[in-house]
Amino acid sequence: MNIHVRGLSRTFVAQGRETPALLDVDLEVAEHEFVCLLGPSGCGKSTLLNIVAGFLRPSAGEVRVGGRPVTGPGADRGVVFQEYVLFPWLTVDGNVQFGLTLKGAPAAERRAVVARYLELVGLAAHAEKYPVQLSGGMKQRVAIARALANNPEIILMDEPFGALDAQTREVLQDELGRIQRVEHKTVLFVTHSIRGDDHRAGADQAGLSDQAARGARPLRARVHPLRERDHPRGEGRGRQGARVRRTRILALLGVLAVWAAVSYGNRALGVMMPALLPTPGDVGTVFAETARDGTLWRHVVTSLGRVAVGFGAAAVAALALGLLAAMCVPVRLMLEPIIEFVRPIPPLAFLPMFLVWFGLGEASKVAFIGYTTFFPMFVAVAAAVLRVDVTLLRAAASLGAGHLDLIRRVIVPAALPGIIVALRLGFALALFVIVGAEFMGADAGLGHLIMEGRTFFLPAQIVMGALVLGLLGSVVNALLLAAERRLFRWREAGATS
Amino acid sequence: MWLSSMPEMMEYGLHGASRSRRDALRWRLASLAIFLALWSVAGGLVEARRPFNPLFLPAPWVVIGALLELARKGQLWVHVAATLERVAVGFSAGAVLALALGLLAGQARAVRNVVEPVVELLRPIPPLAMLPLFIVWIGIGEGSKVGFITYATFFPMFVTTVHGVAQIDARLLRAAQSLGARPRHLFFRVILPAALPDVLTGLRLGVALSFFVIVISEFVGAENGLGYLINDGRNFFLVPQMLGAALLLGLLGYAGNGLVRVLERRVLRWQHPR
Repeated sequence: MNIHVRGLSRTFVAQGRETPALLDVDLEVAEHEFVCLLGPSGCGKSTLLNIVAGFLRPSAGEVRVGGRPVTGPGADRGVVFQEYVLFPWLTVDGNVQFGLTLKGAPAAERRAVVARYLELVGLAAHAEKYPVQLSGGMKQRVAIARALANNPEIILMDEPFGALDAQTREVLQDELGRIQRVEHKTVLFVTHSIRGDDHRAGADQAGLSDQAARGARPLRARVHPLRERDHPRGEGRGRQGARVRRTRILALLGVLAVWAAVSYGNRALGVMMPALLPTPGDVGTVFAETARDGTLWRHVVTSLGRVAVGFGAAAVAALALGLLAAMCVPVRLMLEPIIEFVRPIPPLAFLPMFLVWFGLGEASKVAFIGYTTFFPMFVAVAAAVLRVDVTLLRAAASLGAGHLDLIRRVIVPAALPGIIVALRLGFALALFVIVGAEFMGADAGLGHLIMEGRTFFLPAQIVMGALVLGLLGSVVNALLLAAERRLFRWREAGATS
Repeated sequence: MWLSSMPEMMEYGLHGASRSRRDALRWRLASLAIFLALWSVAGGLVEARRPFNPLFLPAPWVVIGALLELARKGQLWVHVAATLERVAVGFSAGAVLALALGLLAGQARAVRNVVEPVVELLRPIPPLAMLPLFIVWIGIGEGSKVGFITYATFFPMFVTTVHGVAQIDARLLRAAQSLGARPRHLFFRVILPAALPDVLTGLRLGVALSFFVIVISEFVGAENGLGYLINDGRNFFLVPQMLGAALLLGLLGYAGNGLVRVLERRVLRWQHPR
């Protein structure tokens, strides 16, 4: 099978701007030919390969493989990726026979083919290993065997040795030459620029392609040195974001509309007791009434006050003990089993106990929230501190940091994002359980308001209370997230680069 | 000083030197023994000196005694079975619903656009706030308890499943396609296994949440179940019975968590082979 590329162009849209990656490219690869595409990174060669593979669509021009236009990926064109892209849940054996399994090849044939190709790439002894157990070079050998075992006419290799160290790369290049002498595939091979001490590697590649086929040829094309953007997810994110937001708002309005239609329809037709299915209007009325006479605010303030005191005390304790437990091995070893022992007990199971111990007043609710939120926050804080990278500690120490400097200037800042997440979790949990705590023996608070709705059969009041709670949770969560983004700008910069 | 020393930190980070299995087990047993000892001493002292009614702080053996007494009378099993049944039915229904919708929503943008706004609207509402609504709608019987667990556990399981499907490395899909995979192959052989770690995390969250919320629905109008036992203990001031039932709930939750973990280890062996 030959590859025939004529007048191929591809443009990417990034941040609302169109950037061409390929412009009017022609390329012929004859059957059994081994062609290298050489060029600096970002010149569009991977885009070309991805279009031939069928992963990307051309903006203009045509690609034919064996005379047929390319419409998508297919088993006739095997691909070897730079980052191996093995299926991590399959063993080496499972990866190599993946394509054959899809075809429904009989087990005996699959076994024979796998054995042959694992032998060819020198991994016969590792058939039962999982990808996580392999080195980079071994993974790439598996990827090559996987592509070959599917017996494609064409193999497309996208910088297959780019992620490997120089020595492994050399070995694998030789190996690929040897394999190609046996297999005689049509190969399109994309590789990095040749410069400096890469010269040897470049020479080897020329040698490799000499041995393998008729040698590397310059590409008869104008390839533009622009940034490759061949990740479909990166494409036009800004515009997509706006669209997603619009569909979300529309969908939300849709939810409200359905609710209104069902509840008002029920009212009109009398399918079930109207009170059971409060309309948005009913809920709005309850909201307006309780807001006007001030009872709603009293309940909100009461609940938030309890949450603030209980959660605040638990947060202080969890921070102090979490830091101590993480930095002091004996304390951790003593506390861990006890926490493991207590934590599976659903906190609400202790609620009546708190009522017995602390009475029906404020103390029982505040203490209960403190108890509930302490454990998860403690565990998360300790885990965040324990995650601090030892190399960071070493780097700081070699710059002259003492014991206290390490704690103050390395451990705490490095753990802070995890600590904030712990606090966010704790707060959500506090809102979660305060409702339960106020179900039992309270005369104020949103939980009480909701329970009152049940006692006096006012479903509209239940729904209103639930919505107010959800709103409170969302607002606090959004505030904390915004604060997080402000505090940890260094993190986002690190994540995107 | 107990804090990790500089040389220790430089060599091992904050984790400390790795410990032998036996050593770790010894610490664990010692810690639990001290915990039980402190509890016993406190309980014993209260009983001997009576600074307050010893009923408030029963010693461990009193709690165990209360459980044994209930077991002897044959009541304990009824309550355990009732709770387990509600959790099993409610959780399973929630899991089936969440996985089916989550896998669908993760793939089909249309489904996602319809389901996610509803989920985003309801998710911030603490599920407990909806319990009275379930009681008003379905009544005080089994239906409202089971339905409530299904409702509460649906959200975390749905969200983790969608996340599991949405975060799949697009290159895995490309690799499978260039090996000849068709859409149904992609679903069963790539998307499902790749999403499995997240799905199982969701199941674990769901199990924990089931036990979390069953208690309160058994407080509010039930004639049996461990939650009922606890609330009944409160009404009749039977603190040992309350503590015992809470401990049993912890044990059940721990076992449920352990089951999912075993499943995880089985199915996700590829993450940590051997």
